[in-house]
Amino acid sequence: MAERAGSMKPDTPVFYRGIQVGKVSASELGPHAQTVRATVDIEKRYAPLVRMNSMFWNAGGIDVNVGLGGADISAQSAKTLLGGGIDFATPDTSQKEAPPRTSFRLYDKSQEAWQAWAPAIDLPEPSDNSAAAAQSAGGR
Amino acid sequence: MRVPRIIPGAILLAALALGGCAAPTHKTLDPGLLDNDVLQQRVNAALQRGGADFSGVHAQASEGTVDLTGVVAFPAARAWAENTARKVYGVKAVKNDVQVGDARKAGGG
Repeated sequence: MAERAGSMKPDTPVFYRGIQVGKVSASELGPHAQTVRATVDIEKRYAPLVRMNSMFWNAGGIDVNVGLGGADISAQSAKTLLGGGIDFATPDTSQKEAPPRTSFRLYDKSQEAWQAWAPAIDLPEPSDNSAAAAQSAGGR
Repeated sequence: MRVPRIIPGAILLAALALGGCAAPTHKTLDPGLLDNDVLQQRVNAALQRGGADFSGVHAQASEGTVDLTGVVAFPAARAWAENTARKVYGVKAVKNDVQVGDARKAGGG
């Protein structure tokens, strides 16, 4: 049986507007075993994207594809298709930045309005802590 | 050890009912379960970050209303706990059932 809880498994990528900004680091059962709880690590640079009113949803390819034909399949990255993924969006009137370990509901699918959100959020400059990272970024 | 560039950004909650073949029997879960659970955890997290010792305070959420129970050491902390909960995004109302003191009784005040 396919399990859509697959999108809550460790290393599942987390996307914002199609860019991977983090991944699931751990998942566990909730206190009453009725829910699944996943901890998500967001790259520090992208942390300002996560606001108190951000919405997260399941971007796993498999269910989406059923009955929708090929077009949507190609829109998803191969990794998302295979292992599932999590998308999130932040409303145009964003709330304050969510502190670490803030809880969010993971919705089964997105609403159309969420996809249209496009707030301007200032991101810090990419830091080059490690030489390797600086090199791969192609200079400062 | 945690890689410094990564921060624990969010905790996501999903119903177990998400798994499987979309069987209608899964609808037996309370539809508000996740929202309540999320709000509850947000309030509890806010209390943990709060200035006073709120380790004895617990939040229970239902449709935006948060019920605070437990014990704090002194009367002002009881009000602080309520204010902290009120400021959490998504909280519509707070029911403050927090008691003051251990041996001491709060009385009718």
